[in-house]
Amino acid sequence: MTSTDEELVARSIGGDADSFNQLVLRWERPIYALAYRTIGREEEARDVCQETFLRAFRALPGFRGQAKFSSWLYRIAINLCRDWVRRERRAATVQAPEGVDLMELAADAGPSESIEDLVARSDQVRAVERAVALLPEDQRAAIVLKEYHGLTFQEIADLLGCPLSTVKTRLYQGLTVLRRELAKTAAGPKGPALHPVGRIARTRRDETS
Amino acid sequence: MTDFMCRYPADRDRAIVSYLYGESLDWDPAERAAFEAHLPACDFCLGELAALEGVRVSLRGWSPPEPAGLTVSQPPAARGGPWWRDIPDIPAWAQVAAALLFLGVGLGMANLDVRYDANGLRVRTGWATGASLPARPFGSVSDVSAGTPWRADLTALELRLRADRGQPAKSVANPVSAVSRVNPASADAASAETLRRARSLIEESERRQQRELALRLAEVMRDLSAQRNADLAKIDRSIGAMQNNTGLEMLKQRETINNINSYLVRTSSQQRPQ
Repeated sequence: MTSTDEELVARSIGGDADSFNQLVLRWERPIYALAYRTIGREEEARDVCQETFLRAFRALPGFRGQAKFSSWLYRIAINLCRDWVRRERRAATVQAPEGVDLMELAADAGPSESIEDLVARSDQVRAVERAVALLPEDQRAAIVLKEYHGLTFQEIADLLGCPLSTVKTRLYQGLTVLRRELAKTAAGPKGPALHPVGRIARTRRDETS
Repeated sequence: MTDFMCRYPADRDRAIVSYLYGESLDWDPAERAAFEAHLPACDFCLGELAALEGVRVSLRGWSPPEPAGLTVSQPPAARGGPWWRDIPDIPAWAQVAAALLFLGVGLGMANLDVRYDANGLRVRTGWATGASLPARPFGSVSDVSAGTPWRADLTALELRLRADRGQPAKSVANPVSAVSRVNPASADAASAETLRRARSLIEESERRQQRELALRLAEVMRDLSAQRNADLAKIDRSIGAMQNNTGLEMLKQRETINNINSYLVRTSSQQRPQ
């Protein structure tokens, strides 16, 4: 039977190194993904991930279960990402390749995907990376935590240390920026057609005039 | 700008976000009902919701690159046990060979020479010649009184010889005096016999030790050989698995190249009419 985080944490505090290793195996990928999407660099994201677990291990005896273990880890990782961004004094960067590597793309292909689909998908992903990198740090963190880690508004508010209403505002502003940036690219947002806000506004103005 | 496009009276942006994510725990029910009543009549809100949902769909396609060697090593403080546990896997036969080599080199460097014969016990280390360390005659008083480390052995030997000869051991409290009594200045036939017995006991002991050493060496060689065979079999299996993987990789690469070729052919045929 799989142990819960709480059980593994309790055993780790008792000196069982294997339990802590299980926690690492369970959470290293989400933490790495959070770091990568926040700072946009693979190597640094890996460093942040490792540092997160080292700090967690050192601070484990002081962990009293006042929050979920995952939330605690997220908080450490987000603080490290913030430190990194401030230290570098720049926005998150995205390592977008210069050209499309067909070999690499084809190797990632699903069974029913054509090369055209793959190229389009790759363009879409790069557009998203670039757009996310443009977001201010707070908006980016809120969107990453909500979209990719499924945290509730309240959990995000606790992690980022801000009111819940601020989280919603950041999400709205971040999504709006992404919508604008993605609309500039050929890829554009998928799903329902992008609503032509400008056209509606113009139409309504025309109707009223 | 939104004021004249959307007439929703409350905080519209936050309402849009709450509605978009379907998270209503913190959303006042009355406010939620009001927004849901407003929505069907507001093209602007409907459009924005659809567009933001489209952004979310785009976001889902973004995955971080697969990290190489991500697994964090166990924190240093958690490591228990001696430092040599951190040494990577080395076959047992190689470890035994290394230990024997180390032992041999060590003994060779020390040039250890142990002799225990009629001329007395000689332990010589380093490259000193035998002449520089004169042997002490066996059983001499000076030997015993000098506190040689084999004094207890000598006492035990004396007791055993006395027992063989049917003489009671008078005292073992003072081995120095006891040994002195065994070796009077005027050595007679009894002392010669004693010397002979001592030599034979020592030779027997040496033979026994040689037999044990040979046995141990044979065991080590047998274990070493078995471990080496097991390691070779393991390496063979690994090589076989690698060859299989390489074959699969080649097939995959070939398939990939075929895909690219067909893509390039299609692309060029599409461009040709222009």
